[in-house]
Amino acid sequence: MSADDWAIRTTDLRKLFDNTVAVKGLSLSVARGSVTALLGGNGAGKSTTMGMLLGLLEPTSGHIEIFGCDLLARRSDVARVVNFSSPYVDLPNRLTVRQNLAVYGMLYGVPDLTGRIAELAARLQIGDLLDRRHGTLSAGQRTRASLAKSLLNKPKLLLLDEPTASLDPDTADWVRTLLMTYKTEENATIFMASHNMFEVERMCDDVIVMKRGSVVAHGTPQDLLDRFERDNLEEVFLDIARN
Amino acid sequence: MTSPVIESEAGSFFPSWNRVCGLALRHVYLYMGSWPRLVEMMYWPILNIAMFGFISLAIVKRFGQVDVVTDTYLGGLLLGEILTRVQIAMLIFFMEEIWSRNLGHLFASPLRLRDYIGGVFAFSAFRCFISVAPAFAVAYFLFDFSILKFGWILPVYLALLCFNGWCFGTFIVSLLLRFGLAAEWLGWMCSWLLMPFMAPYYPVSILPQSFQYVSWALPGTYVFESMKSQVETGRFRADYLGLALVLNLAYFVVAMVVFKRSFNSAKRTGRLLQMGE
Repeated sequence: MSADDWAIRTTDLRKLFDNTVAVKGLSLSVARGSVTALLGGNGAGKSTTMGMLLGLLEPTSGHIEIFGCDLLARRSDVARVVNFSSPYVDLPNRLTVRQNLAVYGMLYGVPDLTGRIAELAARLQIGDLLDRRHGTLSAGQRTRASLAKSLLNKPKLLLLDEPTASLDPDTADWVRTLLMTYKTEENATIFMASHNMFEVERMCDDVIVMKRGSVVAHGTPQDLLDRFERDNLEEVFLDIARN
Repeated sequence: MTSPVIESEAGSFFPSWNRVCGLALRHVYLYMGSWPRLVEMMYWPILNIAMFGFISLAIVKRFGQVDVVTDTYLGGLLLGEILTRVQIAMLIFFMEEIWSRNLGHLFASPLRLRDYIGGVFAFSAFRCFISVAPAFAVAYFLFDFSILKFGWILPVYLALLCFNGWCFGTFIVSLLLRFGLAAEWLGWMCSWLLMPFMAPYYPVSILPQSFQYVSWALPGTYVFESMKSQVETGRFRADYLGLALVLNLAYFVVAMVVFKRSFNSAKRTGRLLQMGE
């Protein structure tokens, strides 16, 4: 594969907090147009890796390329084609959904912002929520509003942290379908951290498992099932976590 | 390094107008939807002008001193409000993002530091104007004191004090970036810390000698001295205003360096993601 075929490439990425190693020597490549899951138990280094890929955390050493661009050198340029959603990073609660989308639309330089908000409102079924304050929404509604924000700029790389956390099975299924449709339409790459193994099996082409800051397994879901001789990813995850 | 997906931003030296407006709009929306915030914004300047106005009237009545007392007090107070309100606006601008745990979304967007600074400067000047405009009106209607009596030099006073407020406000935000929410109380304190040294109501010469060294290192001091000179003699001090500008420029350069370093430190330690939790 040529350099243009990768959405994300990290080389020997390390992150130290004081004397604690959060990520050690992470080298990974995520193919363009793929859906890749980053798995790992608590403290495995997933959030730190996500933070570094978003440019919110500075690596202690190593290199990150997004679509062939050095993230540290051109963070703002890179950020225009990337977006993210996380239940752990809020949108301002006192602003309405529409106001939040308008603000972030301007920050991302979205053309025809009014039209784009209307389009996303229809697609994410949040038309009736647009003029409600973000703080008054239920968990499921917040997730949809946050997804709308993350799709505003039609990102080529979508970073998702637990995209269906706290959603009921029906809504979670609806969100997964929406994400897969978006990925196909825009030829986007999705990189997501998840603890939902069913979701990973259903959506992902590639799975990266981290433990104590390092990648301990990497392959397609089927590769991992074969390698660990298990029936599902949940068992693979438990094998890795407990050994 | 070139990429078929990512384009370089043209004219990237200057803040992006879209992002500056987006950032300011976020706070305009916040204030539009929160009347307690609007009231608080105007409350303190009005309260201060009422207190000082009546104190100066009492002094005039007691000692028979002339308009100089009222004009110096009220002029110093109103101009001083510009300086403190700009700093407070910058502090609140940043704190609102921490309170709403929004820093992650904000700094994962294409927002650059210069855009952030542009947005915070624009909003703080706007918020300051909304804060002190009613106090200007109160001074006029209650105490017959018009800020416009300083004439055409008034915009220069306002601009220099606003500039000074931006520089000090940037230091305060840097403090929060470096030390996190633990430094919040320090941020509030710093907004008033240097005011006594700037001598808005009294001549610098009455301060102890050691304090005067600090005073003359602060841009605001020169503006207040010029204002007092204008009240007493009818003439402003162009030399002082020039010095205020030079000092402001020096502080601005240092403030930008400190802010950039503090921001990088927050990215190293992970504080950018953790603040507010």
